[in-house]
Amino acid sequence: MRFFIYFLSKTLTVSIQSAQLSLLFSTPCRQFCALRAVQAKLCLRKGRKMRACFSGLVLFITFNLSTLLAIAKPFIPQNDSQVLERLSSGPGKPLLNEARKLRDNLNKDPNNLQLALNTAKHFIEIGRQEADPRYFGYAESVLKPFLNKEPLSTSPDILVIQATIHQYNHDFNRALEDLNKALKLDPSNVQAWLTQALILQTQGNYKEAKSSCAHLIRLTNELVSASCISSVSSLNGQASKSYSLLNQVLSHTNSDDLYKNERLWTLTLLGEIGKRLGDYKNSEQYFKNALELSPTDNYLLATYADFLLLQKRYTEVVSLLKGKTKIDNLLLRLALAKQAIKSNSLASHINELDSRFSSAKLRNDTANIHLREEAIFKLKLQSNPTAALTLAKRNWEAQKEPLDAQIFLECALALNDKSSAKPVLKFIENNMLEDKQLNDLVKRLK
Amino acid sequence: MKNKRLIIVLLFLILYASPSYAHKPSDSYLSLWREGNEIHAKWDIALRDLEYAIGLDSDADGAITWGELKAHHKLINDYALERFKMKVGTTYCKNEIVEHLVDNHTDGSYDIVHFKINCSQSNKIPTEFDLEYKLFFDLDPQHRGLLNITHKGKTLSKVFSPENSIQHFNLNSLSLWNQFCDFIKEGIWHIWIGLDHILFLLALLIPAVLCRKLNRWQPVNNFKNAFLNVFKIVTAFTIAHSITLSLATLEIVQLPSRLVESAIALSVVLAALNNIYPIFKDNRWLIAFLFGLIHGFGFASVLMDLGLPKENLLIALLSFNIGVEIGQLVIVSIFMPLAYKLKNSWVYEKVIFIPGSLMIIGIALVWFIERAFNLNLLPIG
Repeated sequence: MRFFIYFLSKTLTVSIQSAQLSLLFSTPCRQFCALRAVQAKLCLRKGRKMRACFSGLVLFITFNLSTLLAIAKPFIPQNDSQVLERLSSGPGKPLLNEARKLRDNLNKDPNNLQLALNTAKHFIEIGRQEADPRYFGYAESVLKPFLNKEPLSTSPDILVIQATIHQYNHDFNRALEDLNKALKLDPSNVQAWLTQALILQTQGNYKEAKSSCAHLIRLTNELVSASCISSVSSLNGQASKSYSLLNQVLSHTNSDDLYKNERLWTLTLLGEIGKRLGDYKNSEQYFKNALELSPTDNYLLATYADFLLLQKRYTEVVSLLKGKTKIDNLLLRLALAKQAIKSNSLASHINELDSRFSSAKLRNDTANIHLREEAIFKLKLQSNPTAALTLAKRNWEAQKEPLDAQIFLECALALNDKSSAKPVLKFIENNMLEDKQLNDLVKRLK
Repeated sequence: MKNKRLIIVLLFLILYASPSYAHKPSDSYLSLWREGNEIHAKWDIALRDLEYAIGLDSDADGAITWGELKAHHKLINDYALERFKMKVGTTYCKNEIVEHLVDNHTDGSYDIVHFKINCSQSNKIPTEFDLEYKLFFDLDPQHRGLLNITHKGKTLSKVFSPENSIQHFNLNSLSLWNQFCDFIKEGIWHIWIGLDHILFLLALLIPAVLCRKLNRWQPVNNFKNAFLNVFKIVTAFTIAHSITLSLATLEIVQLPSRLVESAIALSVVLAALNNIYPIFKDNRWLIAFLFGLIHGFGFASVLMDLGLPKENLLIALLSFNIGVEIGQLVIVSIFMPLAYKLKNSWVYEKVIFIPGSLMIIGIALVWFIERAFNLNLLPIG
């Protein structure tokens, strides 16, 4: 509720600025009309003045209320023990102390590359677990001095970590450049091949992604290489085959803790492939096993929430994502579920998402990591398919995962705009992309 | 075995082909405004960022209290105010702290640093200066400083990033230029949605590709004649409404709006009627001029409703008028070639000329009744 009031006052404060607040207080009625004229870009004819004044009056009252809220906002706390901010208490907390120590050591020994790499990795991991972009920035700054001075030949790892940060910021081309350099220096760098494969897959470049995966066969264990190849092939005409192959490999890998992260990846992947093939029963089991391994993995939670939404299991989504509202991706899914069950808190979620998307825009970042989610938001929660399609198109230029295709086609369908869906339809056909949900959309668009 | 362990560490990194970004990236919000002869600034800095940069959580219990923040106010002043500078010419201005407040943003609590900027070289508030921002860029290259400058009712927004940490500002050109553009837009917009002005022009323009010979309408024989007709009408209309727009805006002449609005409606009726029963014969430019005077009062009421900047009244007047002329020219340049092309066909006389004029008379009559007697009959206008 507090967030909602805050949001309300924030948006209205902004509107006030644009409407030139000072006008309001000079002369009465004419200025209400002025406000309305500026706001609605409607130049009012004098003959209709009374009506305009009335709506102006309503606006005036709302605005005044909001100024009160806005003015009351910044405050001086009552007593010294009042807690203003709780630092990380999420899953990344244990790592955070470790990372701090590493950073302090690095400050004392600023030329220690190994220490810098280790610190950066820690920050990235915390950032991933907490889904907090700040830590990616910290990691970047730890590496920065070395990128400028260290002869890179000594450390392809620094490039790989740099690439991971670019990947997170959706700057795929720079990530691929760094990986390319790293692999020239160290052709047996497992992480570089893997990250490269995943980025290429995200871009829909399946052929090169597969060849990147192929390098892993001789460099690492079967589970990793099989997951990599199945991940790509399942989108490229061999879904069933990849599904059973991966299942086989998983079943004869021992469930040693050593493999936890690999197993998490494989299980999530199996869940996703199963979902696309319409094998919901087994898919469900894979997701559940994955959640058992890591109940807080944000990517997994979002994917599983989509799986539940697809089957209209809305209340399960609500309980799965309760308390995860800090994470935009998860908040979006939560809002979609609440919309379906007509929950009261929907409006506050929508406002919250809207303010997050607009505050992200204030930063003027070139790569907008919110495009897909914002398109979903615009289409499904704000019923604005035109704006959604524009976002979905821009998103499609950057990435081509099934979910990117899905939102694009859904927008095209909502607008009955078959011609703009063409590139996506062609992509699905050319790559023999098997996805029950997508293929249904394709049929409806043809 | 060693290889496997390596993978464990590395595999930490793989699972976000689609990242679940959350929380916001680090931003600070900086607003500058003028109070009397002083420049004030309010800087919202996230406690989390300050904690990372200078450490606020003295007892390391994972919670930052007001007491802990207060104890660090001096350190924050030194740290932050050193990292944001205004520079006039080659001289740096001094930042002087006013107070600290706390604010809750959606992504956590922020320290509000309220300070004044003194550029003591002159007593005047500088309108041209550089701003240098480098807070947190060394610790988090993804940090952004989001700046808002409020100047004479206009807000200017800029983003500071590591690549763009020094920016030049000239508020004079900003506010004037912005106002200029805004009023041009308003002018164009007004003529476009002001159906009565459009119909008035059309009523006068429909016969422009014809001329009256032996009491009958004939197509003009060349484009030059048609163009001259249009040119005379548009120029007369422009001159006339510019005169009254200026007189009314400068508050030299003022008329009751009901009278103006009703007269505008009546002018549309008469302009269209002239096509059917020639009252003014071929001197339509005269109608354009006479009634243009009335339309100018109409424009003025819109302009005044928009809220006029006192210090830049002339700019507003000029740019609004330019906007009106642009909007008008667009209408003419769409209508003119079409009309010229159709002028010889029977369609022009039988479908456009007479019925069109009759329709305009009908609509404008209703407007006239509505406006003169304060009724609501039509959904348009």
